[in-house]
Amino acid sequence: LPSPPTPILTARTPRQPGDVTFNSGSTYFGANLTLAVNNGSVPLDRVKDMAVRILSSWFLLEQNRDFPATNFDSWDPLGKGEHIDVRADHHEYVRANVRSLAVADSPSRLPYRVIREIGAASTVLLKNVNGALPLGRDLKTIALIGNAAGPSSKGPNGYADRGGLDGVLSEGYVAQPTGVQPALC
Amino acid sequence: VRSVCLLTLLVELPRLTHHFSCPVEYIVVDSNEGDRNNLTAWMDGDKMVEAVAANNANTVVIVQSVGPILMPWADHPNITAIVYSGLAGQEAGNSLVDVLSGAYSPAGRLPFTIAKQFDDYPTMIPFYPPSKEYVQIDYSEKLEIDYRHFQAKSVSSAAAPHQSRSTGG
Repeated sequence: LPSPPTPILTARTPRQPGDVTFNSGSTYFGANLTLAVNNGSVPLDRVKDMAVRILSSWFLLEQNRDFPATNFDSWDPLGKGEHIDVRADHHEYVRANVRSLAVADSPSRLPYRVIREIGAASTVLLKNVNGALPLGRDLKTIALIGNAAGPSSKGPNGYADRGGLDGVLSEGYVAQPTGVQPALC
Repeated sequence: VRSVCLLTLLVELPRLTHHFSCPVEYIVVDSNEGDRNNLTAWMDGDKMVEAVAANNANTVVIVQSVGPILMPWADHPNITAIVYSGLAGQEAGNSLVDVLSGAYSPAGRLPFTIAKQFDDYPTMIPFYPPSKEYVQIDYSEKLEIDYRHFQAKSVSSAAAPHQSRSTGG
């Protein structure tokens, strides 16, 4: 067992995945956590606290009843993974599966429209002089330059392990949603 | 007759906590290993902005970024607008068109301060030594982080959370 398991002793619940050292298959949790409790390096109360923290959100989100089953296993993506093509009907899928978006019965509240409005509403204007924005109707020429001017030239899986991106950045990491098609391009 | 140049700038990779060996540590993008560890635009983004602004009197810069980046070109007279669109999600393009066209007047606020220069920030990422030993952090700055630091020390910034502008559209 690697020592000391500092993150567990302080405040960490099992929410940041990863091995003790990369790709070693080793972990601070599971049998090693049992060992740490038995040899006294991790207090049992810490384990109980971890369980309370995890189960609290689990119950808050009502995952104990009528909740969509886990349908993907990142360690076995081609085996247990239930692949869903979200490109064609993402908003319909969200509508059917996320109860909190029941307001989607109103066409203007369809998730993709809500997402579009949130995207615009959260945009921050840092500078605007000489009436630059909004763009006027008298504009004759617009040049669109830069790597975010269109979708990735290689598609969502164009770089190994999402280790790159040459198109619009719409989400964190480099895994871009497959349905993104900027109207700007 | 007016012309405008929309310059879209992309900045990569969020910063993740490193309490455990993180799956992205082995990924290198633009010489950056793992999580983002600088505040500059990647892929020669600053050079691109300055090259375009040098040749176009009406340049709008759109920043797609996971967090703050330094904008050394912010006061360039040919850069007439800077739009921070963050990570706008699956409708990123449509949302941006709504803002640029005036269909939607953005009222977003920054959740962080953009400094004029790197050294103006009071804190720094603790880069772990190869042994991955944990670094003792004393948080001596107390609550004077981000905009509170800039206000307390009277450091001017390029943009801050309490500032906002309107397209008037």
